[in-house]
Amino acid sequence: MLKDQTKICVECNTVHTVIGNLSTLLVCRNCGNIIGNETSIDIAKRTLIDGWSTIRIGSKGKYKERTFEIIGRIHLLLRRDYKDFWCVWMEEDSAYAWLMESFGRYAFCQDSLFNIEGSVDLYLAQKVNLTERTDVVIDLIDRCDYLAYEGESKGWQDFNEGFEVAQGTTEKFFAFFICSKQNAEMKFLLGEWVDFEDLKLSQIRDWDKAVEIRNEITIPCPSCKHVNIPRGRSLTLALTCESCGKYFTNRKWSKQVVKFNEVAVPAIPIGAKGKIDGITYEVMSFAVKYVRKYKYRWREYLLFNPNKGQVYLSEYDGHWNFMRPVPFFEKPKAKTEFDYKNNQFRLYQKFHATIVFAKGEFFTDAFSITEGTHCEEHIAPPYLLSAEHDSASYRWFEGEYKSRDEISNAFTSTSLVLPPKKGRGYTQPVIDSFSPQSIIQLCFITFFLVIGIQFFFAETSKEKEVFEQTFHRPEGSADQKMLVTPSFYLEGSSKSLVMQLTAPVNNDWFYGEFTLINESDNSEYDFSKEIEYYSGVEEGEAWSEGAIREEAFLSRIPGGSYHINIYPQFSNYNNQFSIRVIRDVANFSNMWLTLLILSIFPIFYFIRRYHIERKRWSDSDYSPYDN
Amino acid sequence: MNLKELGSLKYFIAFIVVFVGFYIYSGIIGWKWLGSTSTEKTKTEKNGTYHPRYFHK
Repeated sequence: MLKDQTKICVECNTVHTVIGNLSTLLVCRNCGNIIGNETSIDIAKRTLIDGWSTIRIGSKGKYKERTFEIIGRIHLLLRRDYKDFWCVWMEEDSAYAWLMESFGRYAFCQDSLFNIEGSVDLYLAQKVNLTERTDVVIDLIDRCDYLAYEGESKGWQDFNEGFEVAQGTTEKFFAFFICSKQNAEMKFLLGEWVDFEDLKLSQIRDWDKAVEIRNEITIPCPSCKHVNIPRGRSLTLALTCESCGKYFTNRKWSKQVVKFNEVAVPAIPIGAKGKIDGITYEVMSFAVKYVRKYKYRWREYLLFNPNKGQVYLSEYDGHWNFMRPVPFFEKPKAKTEFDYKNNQFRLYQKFHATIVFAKGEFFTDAFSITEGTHCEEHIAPPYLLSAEHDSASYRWFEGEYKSRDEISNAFTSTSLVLPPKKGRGYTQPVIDSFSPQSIIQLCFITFFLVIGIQFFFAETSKEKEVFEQTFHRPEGSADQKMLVTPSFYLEGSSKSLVMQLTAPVNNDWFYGEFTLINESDNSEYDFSKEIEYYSGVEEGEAWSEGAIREEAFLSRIPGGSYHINIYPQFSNYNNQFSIRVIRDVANFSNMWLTLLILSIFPIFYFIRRYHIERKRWSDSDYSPYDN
Repeated sequence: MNLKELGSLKYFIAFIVVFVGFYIYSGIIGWKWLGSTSTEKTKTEKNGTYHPRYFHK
């Protein structure tokens, strides 16, 4: 079709102007009639039932500074997923591209499909080399049973519905494999993941207003024939009947109808809207899941935002976890402990669950898929990393513990009666508001500061000798007499004072009472010291106790002129002693005491944490505390 | 450690600030909290040159 060519739909007379220069398919945006088809296959008119995308034909956006316009769409309905490939026209480059959308995930893809030479069997978790630098990991193998077109598109619609598809991902890339069994041909589309906000889309739908939706969708209950109108429109693959409550799927490959024996009331009503981490979600469904192995049941809410996709809130004994899909993660093989986003996760439990009650709409056949899914949960409280895999998909979810108040505050517009909290949740942190790492970091900084200050004190203390003298027992004196030192001057303001007392005693003692007297204000500091030193040999072994030197440490001695009055008591054998007075001596005991006192809270915190962690892991088969 | 966590630890941080401040003050004035020789501070009226004592032995 030629660019700017005008085409008129013969069924509804809508006028279309071709926008791209190599478009091969033009489908009436109004009635779905095929206006132009230059592909190699016959394409029949088909009603494209809108999903819940905010993107539409005519939306404009930017990708890597290049503006683009949405001109068409290919809608692939898979059994576990859906893919909207929006055909993108970039006028500046006269180029096409594809914008893949699926449950709030977006990938900007090249316009052409690449062939894979030879026979390739894709399987889950397989690494597929696509280019020199791109190895994708297969995380979804599915089947496309419904294909519909809208607007203008180019190129790769040479497959009719009923083909196998696979999805390969890396942290950066997205690859979509299409395999036609008829001719064993495999092609793939390669793109880069992009955030919705980065596309800077304009002229999009307001997701909460259905005014632009062309046609209503209704799903009759196969059991009671009640007509249900699903909120999720074409995204709703399974639901419970509003009238009889039975669960059923609305796709031709599954006709399962399930009647639940249990009844439960969701604490958050279906349809309620809440804002979590700044994003508004709507509650789509509620399910009670049960693990026979542990006799454990919990409640799970499916929440949806058209631009951000589906997330989950799970609740057990009043403890809440908020879970969202992880775009890409490769766990180190055969490891039960690994790092993810700077947290060390450890395997907590493995289980198979079943749904024992459900209510609302599901975007997959939740009942069947849950039964066939193997789950592994790894925790690093308050975080959770869950792997779910079955025969066709491998999915990772990251979660975070949410307090009861956070859930209440998220759904402020709805009056909630949340279940009371019992015990401790398996992802509940010891203290919600800070991590152990923050305590360690804070202590490290503080201890470093205190030790630094102590070294500063040690370096700057003068340790100046202000007085030194040796005294002898007065000759011919039987009585003890008072001795008085000459005056000495202590400089500066209040500082420490150390008095070293030495007496040459051996198996002997010396005792003295001392009065340090400030000569300017007559204040006195009284203290006493005793020196004892004894030694000998007993049973062939030498021993000793005491010392010939003692030290008095006087705190907070103001500056000024001082002298010391000494009242010595000599033994019969010792006749002398000496005094040495040193001003401004640093002491290290204050530092050790400070470090000890500042450690009390962290020590208490970690002891408590240890006991809580031990109790937390006592419920796990993979406890690190078990020998 | 982010600002939210620091906010949650505000009381512990305040305690650290006060206690480290007290530690610095003690270091400046030469105050040894424990292990300092106990003294009895008094005032003398005799100009400090003589103090009557009880002597034993």
